[in-house]
Amino acid sequence: MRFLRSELVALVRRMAGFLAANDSPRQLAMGAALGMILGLVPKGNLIALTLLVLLLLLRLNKGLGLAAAVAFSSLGPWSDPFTHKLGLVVLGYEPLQSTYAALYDLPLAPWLGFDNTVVTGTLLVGLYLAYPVHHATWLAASRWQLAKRGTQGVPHPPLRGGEGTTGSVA
Amino acid sequence: MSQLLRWQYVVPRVLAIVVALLAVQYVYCLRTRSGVERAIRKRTRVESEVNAARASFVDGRVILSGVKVADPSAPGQYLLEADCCDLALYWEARLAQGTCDGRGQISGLRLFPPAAANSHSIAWPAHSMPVPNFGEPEAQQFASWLHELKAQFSYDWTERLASVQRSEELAAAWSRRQRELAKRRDDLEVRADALAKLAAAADRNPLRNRAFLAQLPADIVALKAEMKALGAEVERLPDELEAGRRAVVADRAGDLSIARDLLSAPAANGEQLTVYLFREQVTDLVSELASWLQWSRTVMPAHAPQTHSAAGRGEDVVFAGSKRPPQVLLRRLDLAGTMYLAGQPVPLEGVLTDFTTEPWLLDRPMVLELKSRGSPHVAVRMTLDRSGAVPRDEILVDCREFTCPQMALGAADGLQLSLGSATGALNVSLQLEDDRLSGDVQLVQSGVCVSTAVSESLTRTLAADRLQGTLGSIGSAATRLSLRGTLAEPKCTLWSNLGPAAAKAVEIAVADRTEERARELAVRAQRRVDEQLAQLDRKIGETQSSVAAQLEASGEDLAVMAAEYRPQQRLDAARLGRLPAQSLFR
Repeated sequence: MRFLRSELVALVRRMAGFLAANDSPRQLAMGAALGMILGLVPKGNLIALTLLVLLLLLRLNKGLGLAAAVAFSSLGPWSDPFTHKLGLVVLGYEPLQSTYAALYDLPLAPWLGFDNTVVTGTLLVGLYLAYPVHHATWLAASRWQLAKRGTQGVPHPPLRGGEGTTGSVA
Repeated sequence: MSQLLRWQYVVPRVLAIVVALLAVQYVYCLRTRSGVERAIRKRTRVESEVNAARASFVDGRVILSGVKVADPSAPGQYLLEADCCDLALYWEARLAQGTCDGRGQISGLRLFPPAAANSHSIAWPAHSMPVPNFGEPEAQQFASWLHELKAQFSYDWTERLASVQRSEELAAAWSRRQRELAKRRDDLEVRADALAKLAAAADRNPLRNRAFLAQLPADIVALKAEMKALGAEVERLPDELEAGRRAVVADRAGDLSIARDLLSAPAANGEQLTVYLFREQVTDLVSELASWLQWSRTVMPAHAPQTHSAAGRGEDVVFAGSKRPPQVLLRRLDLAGTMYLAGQPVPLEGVLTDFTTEPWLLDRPMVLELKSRGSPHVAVRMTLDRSGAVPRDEILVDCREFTCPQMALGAADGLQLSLGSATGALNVSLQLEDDRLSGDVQLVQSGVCVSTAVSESLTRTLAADRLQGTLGSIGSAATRLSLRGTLAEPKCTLWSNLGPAAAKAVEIAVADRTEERARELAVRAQRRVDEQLAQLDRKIGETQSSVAAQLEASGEDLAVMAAEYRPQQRLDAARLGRLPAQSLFR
C-alpha cells in the first residue's frame, strides 16, 4: 500500500513536472485559463476552433491548457442547465436583437455558433472564471516552482511582478 | 535539379497528403450519406436509405445514389425511390453562411412504387392517422331501409287480403249458422218426441185428454210445417254460399292492389344510397388526404420549432430581424422518372423549386410541379407556402385518360356495386389555410361497366337481374367529394350520379319483386279461399243430408202419430138418425 502511494505521488509529480515543463507561472496560468474556456465551450463551432488555435499558437503552456480542456469538457454537460439559461437570457435580450442579427448575418458568423444558448452561456461563464483560474493557477505554479527551486538550491524569484520568474540563473 | 528537389523528402510527404485528402474525402462521403439519412428522418419522421454518396470539395457536387424514402402512410412501402440525386451546392454559401444552397436534378425517380418492387430492409415507424367517421348515419339509414324492406317481403300478408278476410267471415258466419240450424233441428226433434210421448199418454185416457187429443193434429201439422221450413232453409244453404262465394270472388279482384299497397315501401333515398355505396372509399380517401396534409405540415412546419443544436446541447436562437438563410435550400430540383398511378407506371418530369428545411425563413413558397409524358395526362401542382403569418397549402391534380382500377362499392352483406376498370379523369383541388380545409375531389369514370351483387337474404326483395339491367347501361360514373372543416375534423359532402341511378334501379327492382310477391300472395290467397269454400261446400252438403234425414225421420214419426191419434167424434143427431130406433145409444 505504501509502495502504491509513493508510486502515485511520484507519477503526479512527474506529470506536474511535465505539464509545468520549464514555463513560467504566467504561461501556466494562461494555459489553464484558456484550456478551461475551451473545455467548457461545446465543440463543433468556430469559437471552440478559435480557442484551440489560440491555445496552440500563443506562447503559453499547451500541456496544461489541453489537460484543462479535457478536464473541463467533462464538466460541460453538468453545467448545461445553468449555461443554457444564462445564454437564453443574454441572447434573448431585446435591445441587442438587431445587433445579434447583424452579427449573425456577417459572413462565417453562423459557424461561430454563438446563436446557441449553451455556447454563449459557457463562453460567458468561461470568461467570468478565466481570471480566478488564471490567478489561482499562477499562485500555485509560483509556489510549486519556488518549492522546486528551494530543493535544488536555486535562489527564490519574487512572487509578485513575476516577469522574471522563469527560474533562470543567468 | 535533383539536388534542389529532395525526392526522399518530398514523395512521402506528398503521398501522405494525398492519403490524408482521400481519407478526408472518404469520411466526407460517409458523413454526407449518414447526414442525408439523418436529415430526412429528422424532417419527415420516416426512415430513408441512401445506397451510396459521393461528395466533392472541388466543385461542390453531391451525388446520392439509391435513395429510398419510406411511405409514412403505408408501412412496408416506399414513398419514393431515386436512382440518382445530383446536387450542385454553392460553396460560397456553405462557407459564409454555413448553409447548403444549390440546385440539382433527380433521375430515375419512382413515386409510389408498387410494394412488390420493394426490398423490405427499412424499419417503418408507426403513424397514427386520423380516421374521420364519414356518413355513418346516412349509411345506417339506408341499411335500415333495406332491412325493413326485407322484413316487409318476408311477412305473409295473405290474412290482410279482402278475399281471405271475406272467406274467413263467411266461414265464421257459416259456423254460427250451422250451430243455429243444429239447435233448431234438435229442438224440433225434442218437441216431436215430447209430443209423441204426450200423445201416447193421452191415448191411454182419451176422455180426460180430449182437449189435447183434439189439439194434437194441429200441433202435428204445425210441427211438420216448422220441419218443412227448416228443410227448405237447409235446402237454400247452397244458394246462400253461392252469394258468399260471389262476394269473395268480387273481393278477389282487389286482392292484388291490396297486396301491392301492403308491400309498397318508401322510395330509396339517392343521397343515402350514395353515402352507403361510397362510405368506405370516402373514409379511406379523406383519411389519407388528411394524413398527407398533416404530414406535409410536419415536414414543412409553419413556424420555427424549438431547435436543438446538432450536439444536443442548448437551443439555437433565431434573432429577430435576422436575414439568416435556411440551412438547406434547393432552389431548383429537376425531376425525371416514373409515377405509379393505380399501380400503372406513368413517365413524368417535373420541377421542385425552393425546397428548404426551414420554410419560415424563406419569403416564397415551395412549389412542386409534376407532369406526365404522353398518356395518361397527369399534372400535379403542390404549393406549400410558409412565408406568411398563416401557412397555406394547395394541391391541384389534373389527371385524365388513366385506367381506373376495379372498385367494389357498398356492403357485401347488403347491396354491392362493382365498377369495372374504366377510363378515368380525376381532378383534385384542395386548399389548407392554417387549419381550415376546403376543396373538391372529382372522379369521372367513362365507359364503366357496373355489375351488381345482392346478398342472399335480399334476393327476395331486390331483383338482381333487374338491378343489373338498369345499372348496367349507366355508361359513366361521376363522383364529387367536397371537403371543408378542419384538418383534425374534416367534413365531407358527397355527390355521385351512381347514388340516384342506383336508387332508381333499386326502385325498379323492388317494384318487380313487389309485383311478383303481390301475385304470389294473391295466388296463395285464392288457394286458401278455394280450400275454405270447398270445405264450406262439403260441410253444407253434410248438414243438408243429416238435417234432411233427421227431418224425414221425425216427419215419418209425426205422420204415424197423426194417423194413430185421430180425433174422437161425439154422437150427434145426424149420426144418431142412422141408428136403429131401439139402439141403446139413441
